[in-house]
Amino acid sequence: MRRMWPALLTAALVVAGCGNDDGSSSRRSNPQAMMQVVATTTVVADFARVIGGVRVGVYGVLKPNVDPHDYEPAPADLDAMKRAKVIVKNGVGLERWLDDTISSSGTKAAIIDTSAGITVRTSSGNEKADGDPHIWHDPRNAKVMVSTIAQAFTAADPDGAATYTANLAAYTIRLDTLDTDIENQVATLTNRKLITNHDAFGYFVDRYGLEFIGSVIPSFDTSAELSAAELRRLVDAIKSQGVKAVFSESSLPGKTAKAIAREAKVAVVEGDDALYGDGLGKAGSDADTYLTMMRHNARTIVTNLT
Amino acid sequence: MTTALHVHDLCVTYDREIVLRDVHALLHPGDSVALIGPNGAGKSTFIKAILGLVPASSGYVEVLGTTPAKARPKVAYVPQIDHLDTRFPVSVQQVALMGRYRRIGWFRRPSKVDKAAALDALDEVGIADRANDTFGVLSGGQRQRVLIARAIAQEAELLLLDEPFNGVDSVTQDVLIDVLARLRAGGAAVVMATHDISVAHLACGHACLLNRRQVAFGRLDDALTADTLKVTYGHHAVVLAEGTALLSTH
Amino acid sequence: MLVTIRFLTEPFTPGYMQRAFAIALILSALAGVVGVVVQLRQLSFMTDALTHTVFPGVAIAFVAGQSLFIGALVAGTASAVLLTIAARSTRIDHDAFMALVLASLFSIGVIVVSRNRTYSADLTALLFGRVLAVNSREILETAIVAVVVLGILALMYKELLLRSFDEVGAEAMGYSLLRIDLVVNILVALVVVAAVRAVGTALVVALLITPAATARLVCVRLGRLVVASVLVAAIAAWLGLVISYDTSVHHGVRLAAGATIVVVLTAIFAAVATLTAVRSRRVRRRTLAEVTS
Repeated sequence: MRRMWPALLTAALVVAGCGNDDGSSSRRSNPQAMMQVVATTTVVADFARVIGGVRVGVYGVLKPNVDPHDYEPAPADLDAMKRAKVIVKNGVGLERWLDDTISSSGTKAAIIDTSAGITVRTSSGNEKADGDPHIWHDPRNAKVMVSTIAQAFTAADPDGAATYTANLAAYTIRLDTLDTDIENQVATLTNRKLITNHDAFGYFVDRYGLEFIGSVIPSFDTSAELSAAELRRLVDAIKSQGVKAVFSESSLPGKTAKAIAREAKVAVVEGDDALYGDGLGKAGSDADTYLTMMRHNARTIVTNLT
Repeated sequence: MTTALHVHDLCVTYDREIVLRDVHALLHPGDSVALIGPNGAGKSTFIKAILGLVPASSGYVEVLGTTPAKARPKVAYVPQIDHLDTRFPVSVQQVALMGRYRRIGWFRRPSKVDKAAALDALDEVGIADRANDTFGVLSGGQRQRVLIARAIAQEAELLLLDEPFNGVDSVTQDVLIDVLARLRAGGAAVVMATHDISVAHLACGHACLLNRRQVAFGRLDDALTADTLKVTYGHHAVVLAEGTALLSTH
Repeated sequence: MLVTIRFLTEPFTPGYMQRAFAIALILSALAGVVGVVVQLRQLSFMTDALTHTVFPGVAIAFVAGQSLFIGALVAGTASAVLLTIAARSTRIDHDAFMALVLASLFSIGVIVVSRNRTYSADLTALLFGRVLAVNSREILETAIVAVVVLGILALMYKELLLRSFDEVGAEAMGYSLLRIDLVVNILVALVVVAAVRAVGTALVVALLITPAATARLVCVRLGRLVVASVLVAAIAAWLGLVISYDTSVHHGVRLAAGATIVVVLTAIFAAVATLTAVRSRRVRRRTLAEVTS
């Protein structure tokens, strides 16, 4: 018995060492120990990583810069869903394309709708629609979303409650800073007339007091097309109201936006400067997290409207 | 006795253009007629009219005592061999069996009797040993014989053949003449488009000369003369002797 | 050896992979057989057209809140009838009419979609397919379609064979080509509609055309042609699912299942085409050698 003590002690040290080391190596070396989480969009995946920290392994279904309309499930997606303890969704009907896939995977995960408790903008015209799903473009909504995620993680993994609460508190402060920063930036603008590629920025416009003139794609849905009359109305609006620029979006083709901008003789913002309306940018871009993405959008809008 | 084919003052138009007119013909069971004329003379149109596949714009066609459409099951049509895809995956026996399809009826499988009839028909044209081969690998003459076998299996009372002697070997030619004679002896009537006048002499008792209108119809010796050939073929015909002619196919 | 076997069977432990495999097998049998008909009746272009004309039906059904399957079915059948009648008419330039129908129906679909201000991803599911997301009810529906289509084909096998081999001959025997064509084209439309949900309109054409084309490279007899076509389709479905599972789950390379099946189909076709080309060249050289010696 006495001789076993050193062995037990060593074991205890190793376990403790692992605990301390979590942040760097165990993410790869021991994924089984982490709580598995599937996040549908790049934005909620980022939130889940921030809140979960080292305790959570996040599998993002949508990759950066991919239009959900081009999504076809791969077995890895269903495999991840099956093993997940929590599935984090954006909500407001944004993931309707994924519902069949989730139920087909046979997952027993808790499915979390991050839009719970958020006042959803009604979409222009159509009563049947769920409303505008781009809720994250208002940092105050993002605060609600991350808090929902922290609650769900705590419920699924009570041992991590302290971690989740601490991460939530730290991130909430950063979200507040982000919100004030953007507010101050936009406050410098005299011309606040915004034209974007599709109706993704309603929450941003509402939050920061911009004036939404119109969008190139007349719907939340990226596969819709503009009619000739609407196109002319948009061009006329740009000319008569003194709009300075047309903003293109990273995940969408900017051809029509370019045509409109040329017709109305204003600048078109595209390429690396394009706005991120539907999700985050690729790793290494200046919009690969929620915070950098929001700052990119604000900076782009302010720079081009000044 | 009913007539096999009765045509009275037939006129056929495509898109308001007259492609064949003034056609009169009368065939009894056992008769055979050669449709003679240059390309585009209306031979195929006449055959299609007998099948009821093109409407008569005036006059009428009576087949086996009834309308062409109603007579079709008792009429066998033998297409030109080069109109059929040789890459088509079908066996010789399957082609012969097609002659039985109307008799078998929709949704039913061929019976032993049908299969035996198809094999007998192939035997009659001397090609039963190739029954299991793919249709497309056969020579032109052999394929022509398979199509004749299909018509035999159909037990038709009127046979319509489109250039059956075109590009076939001499064995097949002999078999065809032989088989046609036997079918006629059994009471079938034969209508055969050809531009080979010697074949017409060998296989047919009647001739029908066409060049967008009927030039002549009657017993072969009466209808096929130097004068009628000249009218039918114009300056392309060089008449050599009684009833024979050299045709330059430009 | 054991590793190989596990590679080929392990993917089928999760329920969604079993369901995907079930529907892929049913579709292989269906598309394999119907593909041979499409080949022999030379309906490739019409098949392609049908995948486009199904689209407006789906779009309208979506806006009207009706079942997309029913919408696709109605549109597919209606356009099959329209295309058949046009093909039989001598007054209409067949190809031009087909192109016209295709373009106009597709535009109707686009108009309907762009008028519709809701999120239409359900609709895109029909364009790209969700083979991993099929449920048991859909498998049952597809199986019923397969039984109906294959049953009707078996019943009218004779007439179809005659009509494909010798059009004028069939007509001369008193068969109504219009009636036969109508039935066949509606069957093809049914297959397109059934397959669309699993593999999407974009990939249906590959499933209907590639297996039969591959079989045609090696088989001359009709019976073997059908068997080979079904086998090629089934092997490609199985391999495609296995490869897509293994690469995406174990190697982190995201391969969509439906698209992988089509890639495998194409690869099999290319391999068989190369092999037969090499063999026939060798045979030709040998015959040449025999002739000259």
